[in-house]
Amino acid sequence: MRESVPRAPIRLLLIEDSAGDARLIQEALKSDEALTFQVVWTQRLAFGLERLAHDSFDVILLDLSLPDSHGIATLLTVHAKAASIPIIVLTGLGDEQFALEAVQKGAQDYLEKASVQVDSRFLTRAIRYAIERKRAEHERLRLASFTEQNPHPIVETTLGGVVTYLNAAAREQFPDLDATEDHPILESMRAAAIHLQQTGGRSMTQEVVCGEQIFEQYISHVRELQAIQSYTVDITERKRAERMKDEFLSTVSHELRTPLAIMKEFIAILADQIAGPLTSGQQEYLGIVQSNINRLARIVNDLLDMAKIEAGRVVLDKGLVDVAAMLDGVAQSMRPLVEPKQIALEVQLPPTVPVLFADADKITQILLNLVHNAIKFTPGPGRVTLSVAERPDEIEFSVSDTGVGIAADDLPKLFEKFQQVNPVVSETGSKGTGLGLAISKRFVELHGGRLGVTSAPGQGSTFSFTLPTHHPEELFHEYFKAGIERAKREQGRFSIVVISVQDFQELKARFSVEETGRLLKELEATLQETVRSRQGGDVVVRWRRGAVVIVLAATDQAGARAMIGRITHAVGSRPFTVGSQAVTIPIVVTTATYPDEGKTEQELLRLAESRLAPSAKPKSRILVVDDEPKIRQFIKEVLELQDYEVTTAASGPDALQQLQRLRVDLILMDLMMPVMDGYEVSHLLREHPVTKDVPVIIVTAKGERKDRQLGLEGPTYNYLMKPFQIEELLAKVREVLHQSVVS
Amino acid sequence: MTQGKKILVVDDEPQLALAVKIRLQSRGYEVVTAHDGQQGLEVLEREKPDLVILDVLMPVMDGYSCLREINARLGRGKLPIIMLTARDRMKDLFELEGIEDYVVKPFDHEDLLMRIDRALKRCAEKRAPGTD
Repeated sequence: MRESVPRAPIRLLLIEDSAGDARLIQEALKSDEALTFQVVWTQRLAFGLERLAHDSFDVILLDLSLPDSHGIATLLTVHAKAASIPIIVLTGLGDEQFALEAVQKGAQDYLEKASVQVDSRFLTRAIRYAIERKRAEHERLRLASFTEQNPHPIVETTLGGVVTYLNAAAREQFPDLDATEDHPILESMRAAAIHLQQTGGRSMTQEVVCGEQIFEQYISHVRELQAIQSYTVDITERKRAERMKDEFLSTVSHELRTPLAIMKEFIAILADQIAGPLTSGQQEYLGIVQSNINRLARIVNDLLDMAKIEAGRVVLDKGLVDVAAMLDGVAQSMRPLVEPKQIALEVQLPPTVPVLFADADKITQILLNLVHNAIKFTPGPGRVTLSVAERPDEIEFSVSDTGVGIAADDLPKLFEKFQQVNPVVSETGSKGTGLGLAISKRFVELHGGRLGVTSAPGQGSTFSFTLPTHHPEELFHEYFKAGIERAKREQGRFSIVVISVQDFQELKARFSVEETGRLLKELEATLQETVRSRQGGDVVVRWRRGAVVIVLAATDQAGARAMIGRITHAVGSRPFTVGSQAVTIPIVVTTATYPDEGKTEQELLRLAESRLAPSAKPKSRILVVDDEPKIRQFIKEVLELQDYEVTTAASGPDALQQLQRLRVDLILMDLMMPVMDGYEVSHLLREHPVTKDVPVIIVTAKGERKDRQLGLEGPTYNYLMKPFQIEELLAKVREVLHQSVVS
Repeated sequence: MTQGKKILVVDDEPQLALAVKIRLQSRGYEVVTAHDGQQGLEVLEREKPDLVILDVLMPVMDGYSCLREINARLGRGKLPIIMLTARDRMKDLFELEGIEDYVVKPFDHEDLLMRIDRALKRCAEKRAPGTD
């Protein structure tokens, strides 16, 4: 406490009509070794009030009986003038009652003058505490008023959800909160309380819909208070504005693009002389109109792209990219621009082009932009080269020209928004929005690559960007991830189709390694053709476990089934040959779909593979006994994904009944069940000759085990402690099943 | 080969439909147009086209419903249908069965003409098996 009292002199106002008492007090103050005081002494209330008006004080010592005021009125007058300064009332002997009243009316403390005489420390201690208490009270009031006056609703509940505090805004906005058990604000606090206690987190943010309003709710678990506090901000307006902006963007996009498309079509009809022959002058002018419509279309697209980027709403739609075909397409579409300028446009490809996993539309857009710029700033005759080089873990695209080049000073500005650098030699009227490079840069960066430039005036420019490449195995994962993410985003489906060569061993035995390899290549080509010829399909081939080809498609179960039909037909009707010998390749095809059947790539793969050829050994059958339906279902799903056959029972009696007609390899049973618990069931099982050797895994919670496991030991009984990880469960199941096979 | 083939173009932008019509007519096709799915079905009944070009986003009845209805009436895959769609709506097409082909807007008319030609050829092959 002492530490927090200011080291600076304590400014003290002493209002005391008795000169003797005043002197006594001043003496006492001087005697304190730790504190120094700056005392202003007045004998009348009026003077005291005047000092209060002009100076600031840390504490007031006040005698209530003064020449110009008497009794409690004196205190009230001073308190009204200086509510923030602690007041200690000085009393005479026997004024106890009076003093207590003073404290109730706002004095911080009272002190009998006689006690000062006894020990001066009474006085200094009283002053210190008065200042300290006043400060604490201040702090409390300040915080209370921040909370109470905060325009955003603040709610506090106990960990159990009982409301302990509502600020003014909360009382006003949620008048029914106290009375409504299932108020959305309270419901979400309850859910958050459970979550925070489970995870040990301190706070979290979530959105809560409350009738027409949407709130962002910050919830914290204040351990010291055993309380859950919620601070809500009404984001209804913000949400509405976001929605409006989205709508605006898509409206503008549609409204501007449609008339542009119509104009473009009709001008093309005129230019192609479908509506009648044109003079060369008319053709030339139409050409100018066409190039300006294209320019306008580019500007509209650029603005929309930039708006999307700024809003963070650009989502990459990654897929496998045929780099060679993409470069060809870019070069093709630029031909009409280079021919009249006598610019040679070249595409240089390395002997093998790596597979690229990227958003093909965005990469094409970047390339078009770079090539377009290169042509724009290259006076004919000249050369623009579009090339690709493979580097470790990345692929580099370059667009070089023999154009005017860029001054060193201008290089850094190039990728900024709305920058137009070096427009000197560009053809008239071909200025863009200055957004193209900024957009390209962002698109490259979204892919995890870099875009840069090297150039010098008169030396031409080279714009290059890199994109990461993937190893086949990585690519496969990337593809899965992207497919599942896209499906999530679009609330769509994602299916994989797994194709396996039936009797691959026999195929390998019949033909040489090279022949088999060739056959598989042919098979792969057929699959590529079949799937690629339809939109929405993409083929990622991975040979694993005796030739399994995996085909992925963004489609639902029905689509995947249709795909199976097409694949089976295509492979069945195609003659594969080895030498002059026709060979048929029997295949097995199956699918799995996200999210109906599996939520992760592993699950999907496992599921699809498990559905291929019937497995060599019969599946193990497991009976899952649990009274909690959700847990029962969960365990069932987990085990089924591992290719076990699973039956469930909701209670002990249910399990016993099922076991009369069902042979199982393993029983997984919860210990705590109503009616008949896991131990009782186990004892009954043991008495029956058919079931007595079936291994049992008993699922127990902490602390349940020791007291009652008597009589249930030995190889048939195994325990699994809740809560368990899926892996633990699976390991236990595998272990127990393996043991029982061995024994 | 294109002579006498009748194509129905269903697009809610009448002028865009007109442009496609002029383009196709210049290649010798007979063209009828409609501006929503409902109207498309009516014209279909009346004109018995050999191929339908169907926009996805239309008022009254959209391309999907129209497609379903055509499939229901004529049998799936009996009449070649080419869907027109905006780029960011392409994923919707993955779900569709019974379409012959699709074109993404804004489309290149040569590409469209090529697809029409191909679709009509395939259809002719299907009807006359053995000419393969």
